Amino acid sequence: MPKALVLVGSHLVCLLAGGYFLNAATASRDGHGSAMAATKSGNREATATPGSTLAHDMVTASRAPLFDAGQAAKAATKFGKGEGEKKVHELTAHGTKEPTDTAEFAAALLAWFREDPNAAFAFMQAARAGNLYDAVLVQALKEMPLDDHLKLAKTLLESPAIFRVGEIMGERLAALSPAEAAAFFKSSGIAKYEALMETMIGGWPADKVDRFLELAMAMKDPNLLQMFLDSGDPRKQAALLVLMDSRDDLAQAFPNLPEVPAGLRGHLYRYADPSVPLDERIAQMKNLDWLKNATPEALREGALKQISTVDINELMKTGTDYRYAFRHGAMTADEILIAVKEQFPELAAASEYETRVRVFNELASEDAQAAYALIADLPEEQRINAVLHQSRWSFRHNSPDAFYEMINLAPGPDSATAAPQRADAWKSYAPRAYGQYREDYVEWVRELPAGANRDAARASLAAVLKQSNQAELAKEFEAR
Amino acid sequence: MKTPLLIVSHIAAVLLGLLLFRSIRPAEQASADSSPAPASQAQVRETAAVESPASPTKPKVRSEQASKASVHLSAWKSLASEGLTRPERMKASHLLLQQWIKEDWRSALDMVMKETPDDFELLDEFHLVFSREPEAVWQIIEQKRYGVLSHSLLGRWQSALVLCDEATVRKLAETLPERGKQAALETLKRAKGNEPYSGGG
Repeated sequence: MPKALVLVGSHLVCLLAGGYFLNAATASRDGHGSAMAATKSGNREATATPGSTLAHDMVTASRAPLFDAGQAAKAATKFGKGEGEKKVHELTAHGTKEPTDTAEFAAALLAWFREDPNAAFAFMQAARAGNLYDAVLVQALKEMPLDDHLKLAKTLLESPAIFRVGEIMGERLAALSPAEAAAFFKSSGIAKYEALMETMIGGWPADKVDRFLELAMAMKDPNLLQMFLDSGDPRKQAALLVLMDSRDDLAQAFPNLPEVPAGLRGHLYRYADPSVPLDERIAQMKNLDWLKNATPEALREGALKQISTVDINELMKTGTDYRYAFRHGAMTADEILIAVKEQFPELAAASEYETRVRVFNELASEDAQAAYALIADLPEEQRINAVLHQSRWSFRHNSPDAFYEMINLAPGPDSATAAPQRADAWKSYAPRAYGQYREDYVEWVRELPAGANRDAARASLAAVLKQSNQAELAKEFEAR
Repeated sequence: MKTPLLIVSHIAAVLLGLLLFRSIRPAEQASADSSPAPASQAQVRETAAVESPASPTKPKVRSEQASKASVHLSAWKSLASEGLTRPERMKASHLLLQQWIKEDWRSALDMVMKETPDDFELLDEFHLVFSREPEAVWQIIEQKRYGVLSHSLLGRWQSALVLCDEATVRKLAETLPERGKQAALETLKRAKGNEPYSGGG
């Protein structure tokens, strides 16, 4: 090979090497974009980028307390009479609720609470509050004697503003021993303040439900149990009922303990923690009116539909944010289904179908087309049923676009069984959508493309408009 | 050819390679980093893009803003890979949004409006911006930048007007079409700050 050719070749190689080096460096810097793009195929790189670093910083910051509580408590003692209030106004004088100095504001508001809790609380209400205000409120309440806390709550019995004050009371009482809590109950007569009891139960920590049972036993008051079973979060109510069912000393503690109504019992076992055996939950759901005469197969099928809905929805709301991961391409629908099955092995073994359809339902509100992969291989009738059933029962809180994308996965034409389901889905959806988006929803319906969904959407809107005394406008949407 | 000359010429080739490829990369990057078109999560309605503020901005500043915005956008998406629970993710989203709004509230709003309505409590972070830019926000609502979901901004726009003084709201109302005028004047009728406190966000 001539020498000149070798030289040209070697220079060309160097030139390309420079380009390759730059390309590799930039690709590594932009790793995030390629990582996100690669998620659908399952390849992920854990390369730090300015974006991922910022995200990580935000997570760290969101876990940090808004201010140093110990320092605020100490600094608050330095404010003289009226000075806390004055400083609070000074730090928010620029007309927004965001103070110019967080630490100083926390100390000043705390000082104001110590001096005049009613006035400080009223200021918070007027300012419409925020996390910082709430953190100071929690600290102020937790450091005041329980009697003073109750005194403040009693001024709010007629106001929705009692909500947070009552919740913190619940947290405080749950932290006491049942005997101490019972002593406070007796001395304060708190049980007679219904509004306070309701919010107090709302704030009672879910992992301390056993303490509430012991408190009620110490008080020998079955009404307290009744109040707990009637208010707040159904998961927490269910935890109390399951606990009560596991005890054999309740009849002795409460000679007049009334029977828990069958309907409530069935309802709460639907919400029982997934650690309660599935068969037990299904058996207790027979107490529900609509399942009491069901065959064992129909009971199982009906109960599993609802249990899977509750458990998977709860997971999406309080557990790992799978919906966000799906929305932004960090996880595929299949990956999420696998993760859900791992967390609910009993449910997944009992009904792969319900588990799959429920995950599909949750993800369809993000991207119906992408979530469809989860049900695409089901037989046609099951697939259409899944789409219409979910649209009908658990999609009414979604945006009109998301609702349409979902229900249009089964675009029709409809069989005799599908038609009423579709009509009912729109009938359930329209009142809420019209209430929320008003004339913009009317316009949205006008623009729907022709098909079974357009017809059902128009008919349901016509009915809503008639109910809203807009007969003239309704005519436009009535079937001709 | 002598060896030192050969070394120099090969180094030059490497540098030339760097230069050549560098001139190609930015164009690719620009298209990859461009902020997303406004759209609701499903049916995209083609609406006129909301223009940047009228005041002319120096190109250098604009490119800095764009680069910061893309970092925020990238961070927003990165939160999906942090393995957070939903309550944790929402907290981090709130904080990130506070930063993003300071840099470029329009891009931040575009992003939030692409989330599902379940996440719309994040819109509370725009309270101050909405009170400072009531006309621009009205344009967004009026032009249905986010399709039917634009309606979700109406109530928030009205409650942000409470932060403006009465004269400003009246002056604004005069410039708006009937629907906006009515909505703006309605806020004046509401008593200021009488909504009860219902806990932290």
